[in-house]
Amino acid sequence: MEQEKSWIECVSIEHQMAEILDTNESTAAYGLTLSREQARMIAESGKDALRQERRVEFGGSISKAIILAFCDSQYMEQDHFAETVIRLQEIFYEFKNEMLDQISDDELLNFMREQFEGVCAGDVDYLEDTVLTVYAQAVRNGYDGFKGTDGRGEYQQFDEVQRWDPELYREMLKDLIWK
Amino acid sequence: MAYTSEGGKIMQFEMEELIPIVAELAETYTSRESSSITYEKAEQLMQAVLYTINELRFSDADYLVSACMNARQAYDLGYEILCRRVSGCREAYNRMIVDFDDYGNEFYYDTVVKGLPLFFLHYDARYDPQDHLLTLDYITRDFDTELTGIDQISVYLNSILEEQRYLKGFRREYVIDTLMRWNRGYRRLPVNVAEIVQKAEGQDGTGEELDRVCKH
Repeated sequence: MEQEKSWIECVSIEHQMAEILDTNESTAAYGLTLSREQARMIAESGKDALRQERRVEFGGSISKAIILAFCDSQYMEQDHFAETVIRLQEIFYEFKNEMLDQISDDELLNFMREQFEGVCAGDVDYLEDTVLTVYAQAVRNGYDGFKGTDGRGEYQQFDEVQRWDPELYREMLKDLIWK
Repeated sequence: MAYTSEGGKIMQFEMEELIPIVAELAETYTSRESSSITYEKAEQLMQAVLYTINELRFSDADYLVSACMNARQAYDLGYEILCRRVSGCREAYNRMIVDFDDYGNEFYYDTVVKGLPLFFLHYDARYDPQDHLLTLDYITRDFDTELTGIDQISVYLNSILEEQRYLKGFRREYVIDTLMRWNRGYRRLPVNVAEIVQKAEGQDGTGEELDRVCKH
């Protein structure tokens, strides 16, 4: 087991910082940038998260994909940008395992991005503790609908919460005011 | 990290040389759809690389195992050798199964007639060559629990071929009668058919007698 860990942890993450900093070119348009220190923090946290989830990355890290997928979210703010990316990174690896590697990176990222923007309204804890937990359970039970949708438009069928319906609200408002 | 060739030569590869090969396997294994894999899968792929490089000990050409060979070349050549060995075993099995006789023993039938074709169908030479998939419930004389993958199947198949050649030296009725006299329930027992006949023939089971009979 010791030998197993040693070679797995040999896999270099040195180039990850540069990769993360490269994303500044794309994210600046949304008022989001990362400093060298923050890039280092994200890269190191990514390594910790991988170790925690007993996973290994050989090529490019998922950090860059997460940053690019989430940078245009209305809930992403410069003040919490790095912290949110770190949390999303941890959650990503956690649920790759929870979904038994049945879901691809793109499918999981699309799913996370859509729910983050939608039902979660930027709440990472809700994304982790409720939305992804429910969805992962379905995937473990054999659900594979994400293969045809690329992970988009997936959650409604599993959502057990009665959601706010803006159309219904407008109708009711009309009734109250004008009728 | 090292492997030993048949001639006793030792090649050593640094972990840094092996990791890119594992990385490539991980990439194709996930169809480039996942940037990370579990430790368990990574370990399996590393074992696959080492197992494949170890196949070089079956290479006839000594120059191929020279110190000049890098890990990538060793792996590629090892994979070629491994695939050739799998093909060779498949051909030997196909020739043998035409006349194969289980003499009514269920373990013999299940392992050779039902099990081995599944090995050839599902054996994963690229990503899991160290797994021979079968429990090989019919125990042969040379059975070695340390062997894995095609190494195990190759030795196992050779034992079955030898056994069949030996048993074909007797009339079928005689073999069945011998087995019945040994134990009427032999059909459902995990026994080695050739060994029982060998004992009945007064051969001590050291294997020498079996080999002698096989040569005739």
